[in-house]
Amino acid sequence: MGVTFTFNDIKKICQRLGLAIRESGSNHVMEGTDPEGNFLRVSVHWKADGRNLAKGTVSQIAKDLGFKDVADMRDYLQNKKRRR
Amino acid sequence: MLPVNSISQVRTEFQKLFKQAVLYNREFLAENAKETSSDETVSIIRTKLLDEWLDRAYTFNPVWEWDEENKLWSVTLPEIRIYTDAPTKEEAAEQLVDLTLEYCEDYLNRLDLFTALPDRSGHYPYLRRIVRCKEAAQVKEVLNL
Repeated sequence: MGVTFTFNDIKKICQRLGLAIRESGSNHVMEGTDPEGNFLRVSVHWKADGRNLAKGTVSQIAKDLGFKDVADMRDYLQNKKRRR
Repeated sequence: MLPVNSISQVRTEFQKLFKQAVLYNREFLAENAKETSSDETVSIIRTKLLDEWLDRAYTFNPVWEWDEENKLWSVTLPEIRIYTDAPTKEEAAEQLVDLTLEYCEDYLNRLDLFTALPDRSGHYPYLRRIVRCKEAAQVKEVLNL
């Protein structure tokens, strides 16, 4: 079993990073400037809402959000006190 | 050397320049003689020629990956950092078109922001190819889906 993420997990991570979430057509767009001053932008199709995301998608999101890898992003999600 | 014209020259000779650009693929530069502090120029170039260059130089190479555990296809456009996933390849391709069109619109609406970001400024020529498409089927073709 690999590490799985749902769209809600991604939303939670983005909120903790201080990104704003908006609807844009068929997509959810999460964007803003993280605490380190980097502009981040992730967009997810609405059809992904409520289900697991594919590993390929999760690994791209981790990269776009500035995490080392998927495991690092999972650790950030689980460890509420952790800063990136 | 490319000919450099002042804005007023361009204004008076625009019809002639336009014709030469279209008929002979000539490119003209226009400079603002009043702005002596900068050496910025603007190009007048045949749009079809520009399209041809972009089509050749900025091709999309989608990366497909099957996730056995979640039974999903993921597809990524590394050139513009757009990605999605779906149970079938066809559905994933359609979603990717939606996401690309949305990004394209957002990018062009906030061109000053995106072109100032070092990791996103290079997306412009790719998105320029998308913005020339008239329908989703054409976008799919440009994206090589």
